[in-house]
Amino acid sequence: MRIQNKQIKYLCIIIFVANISSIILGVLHYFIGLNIIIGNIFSILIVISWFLNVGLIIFDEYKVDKSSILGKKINLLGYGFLFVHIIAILLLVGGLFLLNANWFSPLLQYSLILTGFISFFTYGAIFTYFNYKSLDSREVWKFE
Amino acid sequence: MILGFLCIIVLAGGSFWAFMLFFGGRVLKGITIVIEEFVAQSSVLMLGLCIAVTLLLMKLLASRRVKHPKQYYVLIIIGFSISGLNAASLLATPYTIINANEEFNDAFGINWENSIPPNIQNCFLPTPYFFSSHFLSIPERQISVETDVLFYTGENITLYFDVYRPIGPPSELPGNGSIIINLHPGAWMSGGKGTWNMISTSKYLAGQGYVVFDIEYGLIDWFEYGAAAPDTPEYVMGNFTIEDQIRHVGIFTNRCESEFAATYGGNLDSVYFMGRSAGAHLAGVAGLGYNYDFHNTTFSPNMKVKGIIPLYPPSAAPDALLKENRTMNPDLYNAYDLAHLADIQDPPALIFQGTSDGQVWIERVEKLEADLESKGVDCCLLKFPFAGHANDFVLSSNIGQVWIYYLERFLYLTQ
Repeated sequence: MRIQNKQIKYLCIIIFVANISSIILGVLHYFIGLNIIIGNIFSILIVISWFLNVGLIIFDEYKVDKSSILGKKINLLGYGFLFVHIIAILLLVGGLFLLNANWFSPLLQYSLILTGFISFFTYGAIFTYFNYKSLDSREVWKFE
Repeated sequence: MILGFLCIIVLAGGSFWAFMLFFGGRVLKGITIVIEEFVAQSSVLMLGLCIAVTLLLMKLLASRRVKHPKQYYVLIIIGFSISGLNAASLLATPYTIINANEEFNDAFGINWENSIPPNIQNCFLPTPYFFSSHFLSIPERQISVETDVLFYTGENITLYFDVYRPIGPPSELPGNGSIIINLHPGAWMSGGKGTWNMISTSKYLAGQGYVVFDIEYGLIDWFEYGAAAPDTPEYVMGNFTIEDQIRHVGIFTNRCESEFAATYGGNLDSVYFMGRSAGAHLAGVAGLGYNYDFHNTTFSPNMKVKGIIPLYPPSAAPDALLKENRTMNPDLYNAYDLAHLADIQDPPALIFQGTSDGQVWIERVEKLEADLESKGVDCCLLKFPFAGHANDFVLSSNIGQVWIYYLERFLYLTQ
């Protein structure tokens, strides 16, 4: 089956919405507490968003022509996404472990956690948006 | 080149993490018994890290995909396999929940969930595990914390406690002001209240209406086991034995009865002893030995012990840490042996144990559970596959959430 430009556009929109929804629900998590319906939807959403983001990175790896200027930019943004991914995980590990430290301010503990969480999905949304915008540039993509 | 090398190092770390998940510190011993404390509760994040570096390697080695496809794909498969192995603890969560339900069914009957009213259920975690909370933590309720309250001076030491309690009337919360006396880990010779005794759990329980006393006891300065916890206070160190440590716990119970319960709104008719590692052994001695002749003058007689919560508990005191060894004085040894102390009048126990624990082995804890049950003590052993020692540190991990879910229900059912 040939992948078409239109299908990727729809996919990018879904990934973008998933990322933004994850950020919104991440912030709401602290305000509305744990609710079984929202909690389960949020949990599924996080997994889907993460897989879609990772899927987009792999897709770009195979389908972007890195010899073009825009292709190079997308490739660099892909590297950036993976760096942000790694830093976000380190922030989350730090924040979650430090929640037990009586010598560390609670504000900083939660800042680490939220920064880690939000930065991942924010960068994911930006990365997706950039992919979406460049889909019309024929020299970038190998699927048409 | 450097980046690729760093990726390989991270993947090597991921392999080590996976090895520790499956075998704990029992195989390699040494420093690995300390490292295992961090492994299972961070393995989901290690999974994410390994996938990220594998993807990074995919990008870095893109040119090899055409020139050396075998090398390229083998490396990628190895990366994803290491990532997958780190998912073991997460994937075992349903098993943990099934096992915990069976333990509760045995202890409280198959309808135990229905005996918790809906208004109380609303205060509890709604489900044993939310993936979203794993990363964002469990939201905290407003509570009051008071630290470094003096309760004992003597024998060249001073002992303090921290108290965590609800804001507002505890009668409106599941805990109803029940007292939890929380004893820290540290191999009887190190550690302390606060950070090493899982502050986030104490805060969570205070938010549920419990008055949690996180107390110090005298530490044995002549004993060495592994590495001492970094911020062990000097003012609690002395020429002690485990008898002295239990005596210090007893002093706290007496002061709690005469003063602290009233000051902090604690309910003396519902008291729990909770502890981790060495603290779990002490909690077991206090909770099971409360009605044992040997200890009958140690603890306050006006407290009603409703349950014990030992996490990764040694079942008996090491011989060397008592004033006389087992051969010289078997009665003394028995007075600190949890299985020996147990009798049918003792309160129920909820035990936390990781199957990859290299310090307190799962087989010994399973034997302890069987011994307690044979003596008529209702006992729920919550087994966490791939978890090592002290793996309840991160409250929101897949291990921490399941633990809290059943802990809060156990506390309510046994009040």
